Parts: sequence; C-alpha cells; structure tokens
Amino acid sequence: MSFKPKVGIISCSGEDCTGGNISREATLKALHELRPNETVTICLPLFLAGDEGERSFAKTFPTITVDGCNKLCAAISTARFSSDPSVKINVEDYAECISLNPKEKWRIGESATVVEHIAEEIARQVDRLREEWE
Amino acid sequence: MSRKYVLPCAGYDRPGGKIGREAAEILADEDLEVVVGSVAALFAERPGEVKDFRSSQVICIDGCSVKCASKMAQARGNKDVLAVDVTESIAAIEDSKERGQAVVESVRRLYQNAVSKALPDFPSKDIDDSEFFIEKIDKFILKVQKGLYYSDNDFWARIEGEDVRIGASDLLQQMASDIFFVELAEIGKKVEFGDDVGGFESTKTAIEIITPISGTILERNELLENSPELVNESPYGPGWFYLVKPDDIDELELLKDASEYITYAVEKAKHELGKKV
Repeated sequence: MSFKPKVGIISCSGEDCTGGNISREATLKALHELRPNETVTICLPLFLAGDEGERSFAKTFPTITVDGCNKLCAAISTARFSSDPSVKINVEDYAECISLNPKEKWRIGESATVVEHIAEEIARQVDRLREEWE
Repeated sequence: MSRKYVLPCAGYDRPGGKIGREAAEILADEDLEVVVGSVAALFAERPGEVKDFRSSQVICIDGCSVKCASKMAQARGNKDVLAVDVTESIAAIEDSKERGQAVVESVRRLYQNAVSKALPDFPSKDIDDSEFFIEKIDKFILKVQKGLYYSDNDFWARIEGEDVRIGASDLLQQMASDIFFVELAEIGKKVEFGDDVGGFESTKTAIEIITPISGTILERNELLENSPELVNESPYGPGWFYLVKPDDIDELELLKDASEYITYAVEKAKHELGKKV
C-alpha cells in the first residue's frame, strides 16, 4: 500500500470580512467533517510568525489555500515561505464579495450554501492530491 | 487615543483563536472606535490595514503561547502594543459561553490602565462646551477655547503657572484634516516668537508649527509620535505640542484673546470654504 500524505489546508485570516469567515468555516468543515483523517490545518498566523513546523510541512506536502478575497493573502504567503500551494481556492470564485452579506463576517447565515460548496471542493481536491501523490 | 485596532489571534482551528475572535466581535459591536485587524493583512502591509494600525492604540488578543498577533504587531514596528492572553483571561471561567466576555473585560482593564498612565502630564480637568466659543459654518463646527491666547497663524497659548503650553487651534486642525505625522523640536531649544519649531503633515498639507511665544522648550508631547491624530481629536487637550518657559510672559499680549480670535477664525474659515456664509 503506497503512502498517501495528509493535505495541509491554509485558510484566510481576514477577520472583519465575510469572505474570510466563509473561508474559515469551509476549511473547518472539510477538516473536521468531510476529510478528518486526510487533512491537517496550517495556522496562517503561526505560519507567518515563522513556525518551522508549519512551514516545513507546507514545503514537503501538498497544500490547499482557501482565500476569502482576491488579495489572496494565504496563497501569497504560502508561496513566499514554503512553496506554491498545490491548489488555490478563492471564495470570490464562488460568490462575489460585493454580494456577500456583511453581517455574516462573524456568523454564517445565508452563505451556508457557499460554505458547503467550497468545503466539498476542498474535499475533492484533497482526494485528487492524495491520489496523484507519488 | 480613542481609536483601537484590535488584532485577534487568527488561529481558526484553536480554541484560543475562536474565543479571541468572539471577544473582537463583542468589542467591535460595542465600540464604534474599534477596528478589527487581520494578521495576514498586516503581514502583507495592505495600505488600509497599515493606516488603521498606525493611527490606533493596538490591542492584541493572543490565543496561545506563541503570541502570533503580538509578534506580528511588533514586527510591524509597534513596540507599545497592549496584549491580552486568552489562556490567562479564561483560566477561572468554567462556562464556555462566558469566555469571550472574560477576554473583553481583560481588554478593557488593560486599555483603561494604559490610558490613565499615558496622559499623566496633561491636566485631567474635564472640558465642557461652556468653555468654548462655538460657531457653525456650513457643516463645520468651529470651537475656540476661552481663556487662551491665539496667533494669526492659528496656534494657541495657555498660561500654566509660570509656563506656557502651546498647540494648534481647532480651526487649524480642521483645515489640515487628518494628521498622520508630527515632528517636534528638542527639549531645551530656545525659540523666538514666530519661529518654526517642527511641523506636522496631514492627508492634505504640511504645516510648520509657529511658536506664539519666545522662550525655552521644557516639554514636548511625546504621545504625538505614535498618536499624531490626537491633534485632530483634541487640539486643546491631549493634542498639545510644547510646554515653554517664556522669556517674557507679556509677549502674549501681542496675541488675540478668544473673543477676538473667534471673529478672525470665522472669517478665515469662510474664506477657506470659498464662499460667503
């Protein structure tokens, strides 16, 4: 049986925006419900603060970044400190930020469907990356 | 400083991160002066984020012992961050629903302590509207504090014992708009009436500080280095520039008193607005 790595997921840390909240919720759903045994979380602030464990994992194993907006902080930071993320997911590809309800920056309401879609996409990509790993 | 930049730990998959975010939400809901920051945006030095960061009292909420939020704030040049440790704040709290509020209380205590320590040099006497001449010009409200002396360059002078404190008038700070940088002269410098002694920059202009009194600089407002916006927020209060030992206190007679200055200031404001009101 061949080795299948866990996939690191790095989510946006935009606190005061709905896209950031959606990205985190989707990431948590994938991490804890959809693919709990196939994924690990990589803490973006810890990653930025220089934690070697987080950075070396992302250098070696496949990663998926989940950004809340087109500024792509998670993807850019991962590329700068480790290596290019294997997959870059952007919430704005699923829902234009302008259409998102600003009240949901703290608690998800009607964006639950978007969260669901992104979480499923994360899970699909996790499966693909593990399948293609050599 | 009234504006607060609250930077919670963004560790979304850690209990401390979740509680820190809850606390930030409560603080933002309760206080319009609270801006919630983002570790990643600060790291990326996004212009809007950096502006908020530099113009506010920074309060970090660290979710774990790594203290990512504090480290990031310090790495971005702020050595005076106030930091709350979620783990310590919630140590004695058993009910998980009360943990966010416990962190909020820690933030409030820390902030109040910092504010009371930060302003020891300025008289704490409350200033109420009866102490001002107030004129409304178009949508602008112009305040001139009574009992002070004013120069034609729109700086004020206040006698405090044997010394004189100086600052910018409300008109001047309104004309300047958002001040983001203040450069002050060294303590001990001898100055002559009308000398420029430092200056400040705003989003609209750069202005020299013209001293309305001759003398020696005894104190300068060190708070303005990190909090230049105090000049806008409280020009007659914590936004002062210098405390000067005057060569001749009678020199103040060359200046306008408040009732003369309000007339002058209204005309100047109308001129600046470019219309007759």
